[in-house]
Amino acid sequence: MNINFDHVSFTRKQKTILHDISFQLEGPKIVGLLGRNGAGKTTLLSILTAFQKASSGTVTLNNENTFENEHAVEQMIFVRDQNFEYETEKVSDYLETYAKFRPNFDHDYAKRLLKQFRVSNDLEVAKLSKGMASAMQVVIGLASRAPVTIFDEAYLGMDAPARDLFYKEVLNDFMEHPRLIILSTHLISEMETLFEEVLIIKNGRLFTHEDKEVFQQRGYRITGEEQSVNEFSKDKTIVATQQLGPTKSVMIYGSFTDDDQRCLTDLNLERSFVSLQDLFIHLTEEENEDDE
Amino acid sequence: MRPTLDDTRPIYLQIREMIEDEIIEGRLLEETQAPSTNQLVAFYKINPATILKGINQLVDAGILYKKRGVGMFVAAGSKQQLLAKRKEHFLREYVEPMHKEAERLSISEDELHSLVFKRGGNPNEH
Amino acid sequence: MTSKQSLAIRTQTKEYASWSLWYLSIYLLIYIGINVVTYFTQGEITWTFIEGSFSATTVFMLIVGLLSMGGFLNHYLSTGLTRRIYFRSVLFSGILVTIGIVIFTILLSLLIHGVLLATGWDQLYSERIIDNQSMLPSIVEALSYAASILLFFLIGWSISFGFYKHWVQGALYIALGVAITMITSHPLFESILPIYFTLFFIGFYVFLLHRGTRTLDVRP
Repeated sequence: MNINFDHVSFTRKQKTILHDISFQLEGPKIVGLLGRNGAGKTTLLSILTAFQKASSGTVTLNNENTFENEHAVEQMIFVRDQNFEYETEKVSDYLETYAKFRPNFDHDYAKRLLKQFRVSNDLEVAKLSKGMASAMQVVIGLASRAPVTIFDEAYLGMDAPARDLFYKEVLNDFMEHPRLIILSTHLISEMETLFEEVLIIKNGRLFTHEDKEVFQQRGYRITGEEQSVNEFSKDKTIVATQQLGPTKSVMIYGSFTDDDQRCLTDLNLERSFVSLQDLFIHLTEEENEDDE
Repeated sequence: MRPTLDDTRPIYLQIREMIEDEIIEGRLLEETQAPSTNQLVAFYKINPATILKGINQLVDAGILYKKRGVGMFVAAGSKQQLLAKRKEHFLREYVEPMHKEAERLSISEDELHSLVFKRGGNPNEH
Repeated sequence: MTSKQSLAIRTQTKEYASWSLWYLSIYLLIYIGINVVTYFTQGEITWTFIEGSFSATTVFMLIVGLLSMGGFLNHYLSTGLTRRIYFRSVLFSGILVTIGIVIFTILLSLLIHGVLLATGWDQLYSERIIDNQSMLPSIVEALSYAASILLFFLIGWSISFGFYKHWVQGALYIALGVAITMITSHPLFESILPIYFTLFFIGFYVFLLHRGTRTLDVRP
């Protein structure tokens, strides 16, 4: 599986939602698509899955354009928050409308998962609670076994045990049926261990696309005496600062060299690791402040 | 196995250390099978690639080796190797700083010796 | 035609067919009910099955068309199909259901007429029915009937297509639909082979919807 975005922009009603986005995803892999609300995550995914057409640039799946390409779109499933207000079908019948067009759909697996999520087959879809409806969609997404499986904030309304089950099943099914799974979210702390790669969108632009661990290690925290911290961080990108009396702690985004290590020891400073969530929050905040 | 991972260090390192601990503490014997990637994925809910990264480091270090079609096994002599490595680490991370700090506090060698073996008892105790 | 395309047409047709069966059953009950009432009040059957079905079916097909846009298009894309497959499926299913309804209506008319003949109740037909021989339609009438209900289906579809893009476009398509309905049913045109007008407008709508849905943005 190879997804390629080449200089993709998306403009509607004189408003540019995505600016010149280029990246390549190579599967099988689990990729986290991160961004704050309104950053353009859903738009990006809807262009990939051909719900909308890019205003410029090209989007390909295995070197074929995806828009109106029967062969490309049948390989992708886009699970997202949908309105089921008027869906009077029973859960089992609704699943069937999907299964029909998904050649790899695993009915037994779907049944088993529904049971685990405690979604009754005989209920009317419109009468499902938000969490149940999300669970049903997650089941469709997983059981369809599409080579490109996309979950866009698929956990909405799910309680903690259901979300836990969702994460567990994503990993299980990924190992049994390796494919490209894209998980779009702004709830990072719960999901960060699932990702192998991260794709971060900020204000409609691609902020970064890299291996999760590599990205995460670009961020670190330096703690110690204020002057030493200032000395160490003077040429570095500081994304967050905290102070407690004479002790200062800064979060730095950038590489950490051997020279930095020596400097650190000399200045008697402490270096610690930051979570993906912390790094993400501060990196996206920083940009917002610049904008203002 | 450690029940949870923390988010203060890279996860693959924690996976690696967790397996090392199992070996050092004798819960994972040499020439027995190490937990599989699948088991670790299911247990910690972590991406398999992250787990492989930790395991591959252990393979590179000669702690684990792969038996084709069976899985990962603990190499003979790995416990000794790990103990040596950890001792070195202990010296660097605990003993040396302790000596430094003792010097700063003008603690004599004898005093330090008795402190260490009293396991933190207070010397000023009446 | 790909296998997914034909599966999509079959699925869509099944959906429309189930709506149509509901509609026809209700229409049949109403037809029987009204004739029972007119029999007791006026002592005769004043209305044939085929006559009444024309206006009722056009309204039904208008509604089928109105319901054929957003939800279906979204569902097609969600199941990994294209707009092209959606467009063809809705169009072909619309045509198939039109033909089905016309055949079904004629068969039911025949059946009802047969029952009336067998029971001798055909004596109850009103003078107007007997004079016009309107118990059963002619081939031309059946064809123009089919074309008209297909046109109404396309008008309904175009209106929901308009609203899908913007409410102003929706309003414009309503106006266009009303104008075309007036033209095709105007007595002036009815006398000069109305079926050509109807066919022309069918072609126009097919072209318009084909162009319109080709690159349409779908809210995910």
